Amino acid sequence: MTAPLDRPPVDMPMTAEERALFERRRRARNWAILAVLAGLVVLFYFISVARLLRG
Amino acid sequence: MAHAAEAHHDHHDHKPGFVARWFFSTNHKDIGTLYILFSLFAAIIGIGISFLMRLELQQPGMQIFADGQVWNAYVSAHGLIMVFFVIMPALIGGFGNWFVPIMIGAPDMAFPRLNNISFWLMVPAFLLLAGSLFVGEGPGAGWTIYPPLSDNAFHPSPAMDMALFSLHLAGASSILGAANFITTIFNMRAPGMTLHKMPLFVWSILVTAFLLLLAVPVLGGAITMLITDRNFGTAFFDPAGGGDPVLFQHLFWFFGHPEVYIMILPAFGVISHVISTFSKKPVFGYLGMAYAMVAIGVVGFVVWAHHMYTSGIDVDTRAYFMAATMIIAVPTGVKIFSWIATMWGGSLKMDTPMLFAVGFIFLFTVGGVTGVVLANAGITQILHNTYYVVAHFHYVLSLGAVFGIYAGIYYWIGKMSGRQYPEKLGKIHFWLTFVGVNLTFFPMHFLGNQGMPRRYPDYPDAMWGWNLISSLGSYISIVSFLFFFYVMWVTLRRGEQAAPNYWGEGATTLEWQVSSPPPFHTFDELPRIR
Repeated sequence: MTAPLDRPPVDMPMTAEERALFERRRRARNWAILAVLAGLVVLFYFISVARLLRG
Repeated sequence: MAHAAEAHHDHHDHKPGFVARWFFSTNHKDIGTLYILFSLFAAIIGIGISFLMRLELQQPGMQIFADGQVWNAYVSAHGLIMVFFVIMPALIGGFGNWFVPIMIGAPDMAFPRLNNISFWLMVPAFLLLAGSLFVGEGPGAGWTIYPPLSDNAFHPSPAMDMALFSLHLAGASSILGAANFITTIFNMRAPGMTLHKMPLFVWSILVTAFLLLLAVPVLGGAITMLITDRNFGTAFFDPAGGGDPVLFQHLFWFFGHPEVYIMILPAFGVISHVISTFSKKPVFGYLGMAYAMVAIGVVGFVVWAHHMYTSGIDVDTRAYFMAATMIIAVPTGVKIFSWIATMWGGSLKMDTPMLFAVGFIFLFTVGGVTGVVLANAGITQILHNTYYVVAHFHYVLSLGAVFGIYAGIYYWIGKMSGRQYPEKLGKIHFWLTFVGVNLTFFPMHFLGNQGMPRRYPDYPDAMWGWNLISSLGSYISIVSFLFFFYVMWVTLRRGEQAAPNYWGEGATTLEWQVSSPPPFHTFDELPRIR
């Protein structure tokens, strides 16, 4: 046991509408996080180059 | 959830055809399998090259390689292949893809198509690197690709450009994979799976993904400038044009040192699961274990210049990097002692994964201790670029990360394939590997103390004895590697059908709640963690 999971998980049934809404919101948050991470990558890449361009 | 009994009859278990499934795959388990197979294939090449290297070094003089440049090209290829195409794909791409979504109760990765691209970028990257060995003089600048050796003046053929482009592609693959893991872990966890309930393997992949995301773009920037220096007349690293080659070293090691933790942290995660399962105890100090990995990740970013003690940096800078480097021993010690405390008083079962895990703790500790020795700027004036360094990083990586991979494969092969490995053969494989790798790498400490420099194909007669023993050890290691393929073949052909939780009460994470192998779509209902 590597995490404090004391009891086995249970199913969390949802209606089709609830599930669609849940997945839509999750997908939107996924894209938002990806955008932030992509920004970080671009920032680090250009800082590495710009630091040298300035000598 | 798709429980064991219903798994194979579940309507969610229908699979696409062969081409769609394996070439256009968006399923995290299939992509994980592809990564593991890719890693094993790359390992045949990478370990094959190391075999040639030890054949060459078995006795003084030149035996196998035509000259020092060919030797350098193969040494460089060995390092790059093992780092970028064996260890990282197996631990992060392979185990990470297979088990992170299952362990957090997610249906798949956050961006399944991105996941597919991440894998398939690795294939041209590997082909470029392997192909560069057969072009011109080969990419013989070491895995660190320092200019001016990697410049046009010393490597005029396209081989070096191929190697640099290969690193760009592998880096892009890593960045895309890291962004996918971070998004998945932050946003795809099942309800109730809080950060402090996440399995330690997931924590290890989360920290690793952040290291990748912040370190690899810096390598990308450095090699972009190297490519423009080589091909477009810039002089970022050329003193004749106002550039500075030492700045490349800073950029490379700002990536390169976190890279060391990128390779070892996922192995830490695997080992935590194995130790806990085979001790039938919860891991000792769960939060301490998780935040020790975070601490290692953070401190790992501020110690890079300990690789550059002999590059002319001033004494105050060396003093800082020496102190900062030694501080990393603290969170690493927390992990080592917590694993030992987990075993303490536990109901130990020394099956093959546990043997590899205990072997990992011993060998990683040996590598860690020699790391503290090398952290001393004064001592490193003598030991820099000797075989002592080669011994050190192979104890940490070749014996540490690779033992983590073996532990993970034996721990999860039943879950991944539905077939359990034969225990007796697994134990034979462990002992062959343990003896082989120690015979290979322990004598290198003595060779380093004698002053034998790395990256040379020849040496004085006085160093023959330990080199011979090291080569004999490597032959045993090669036999053990081939034996591993035999064990896997027996497992997949004749292995016993694996139960959903074949390790019993010690295995409590979510992957043990589903069938072996899990259905194509793991969770048809969202699980709630209580």
